[in-house]
Amino acid sequence: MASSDLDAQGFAAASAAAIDMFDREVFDYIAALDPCGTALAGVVAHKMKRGIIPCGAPIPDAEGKRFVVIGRKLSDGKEAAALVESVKAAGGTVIKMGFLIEESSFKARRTLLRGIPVESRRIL
Amino acid sequence: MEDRTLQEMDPETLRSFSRMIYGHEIWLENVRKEDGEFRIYGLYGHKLVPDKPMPTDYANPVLYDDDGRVEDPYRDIVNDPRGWEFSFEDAGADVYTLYVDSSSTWVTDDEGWHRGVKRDFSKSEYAGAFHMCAKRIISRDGKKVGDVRHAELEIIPDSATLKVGGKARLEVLYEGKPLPNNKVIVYCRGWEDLKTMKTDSQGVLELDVAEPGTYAFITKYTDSSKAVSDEFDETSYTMTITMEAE
Repeated sequence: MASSDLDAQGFAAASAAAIDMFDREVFDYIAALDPCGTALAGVVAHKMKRGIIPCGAPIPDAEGKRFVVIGRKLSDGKEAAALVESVKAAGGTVIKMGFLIEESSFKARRTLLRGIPVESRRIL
Repeated sequence: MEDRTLQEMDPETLRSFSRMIYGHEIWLENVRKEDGEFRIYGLYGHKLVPDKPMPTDYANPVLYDDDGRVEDPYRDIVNDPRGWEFSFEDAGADVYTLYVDSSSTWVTDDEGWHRGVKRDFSKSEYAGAFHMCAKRIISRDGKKVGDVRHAELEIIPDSATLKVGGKARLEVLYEGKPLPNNKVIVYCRGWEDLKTMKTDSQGVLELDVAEPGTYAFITKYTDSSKAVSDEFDETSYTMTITMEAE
């Protein structure tokens, strides 16, 4: 997947992967990190009857709420870590993050995102 | 599974069936040491075939060494095998005992099974609290098992590894007391079928170990006295210990 565009087949596969990553989790909201993540978050939120926070939208008052986060690609993890902080500031907790692609050379899991489980469909 | 309707199943089988749909078993395998750390996969599936990573709130690793509980292991999700990996520094203990301890409550109604408690579902037919635990003993000499008792339902082997040609001897305890005549499911990777056995009158299970490989011993026990009126009708425990036979 070279760009953020997904054709019909790619979107179907990405949607299935997103559902597979989160369908056994217990959470209140799915938050998106990027436009692709927003589309996939919509699929998951609809399937699981959960709330959605589109990419760039403010986090509502979330005292005691559990969040999962989805994005297209995990690189250095700075944006993901910022979203985790926003959720925390709103009183919520990020319990898991899911990505279609992860660039493992950045080691974001073990640094900025340490302590938050990350599942990536493809690890480069 | 035999061709029987849900109504014809005994309650224990029905509960197991529900867990197979939603939870399968969890187990710990492939212990290895890398860069001074022990690493172990925590997997979720059936007959030692992983399905997908267990839910995050199931993946609670708890670690003991010779002197008691120590810092919880680091946890991560991996793709091959699909599951979790737990890791912790080897600080030199003779025996480490690692548990993954999960608890969840499931409710069934006319639409199927749901996570939650009875009061959340107006047409609840059954609600159970399920405690699934996986255990692995990492012993420096391959024999010592330590004396850790973490879970309500425990399996205590008499040696940390199995010997081909020898006997596996394991004691099943519930709340610290031997559990006689309790079902234990045994599976060795490569076997076609699960083997169903029972503990004896002393809560002990013995098995002839005929071939090498990874063995899983799974036992379940349901305590109907542990109920909360508007939450769940009973509490069901599952313990899985995995051991290597060499």
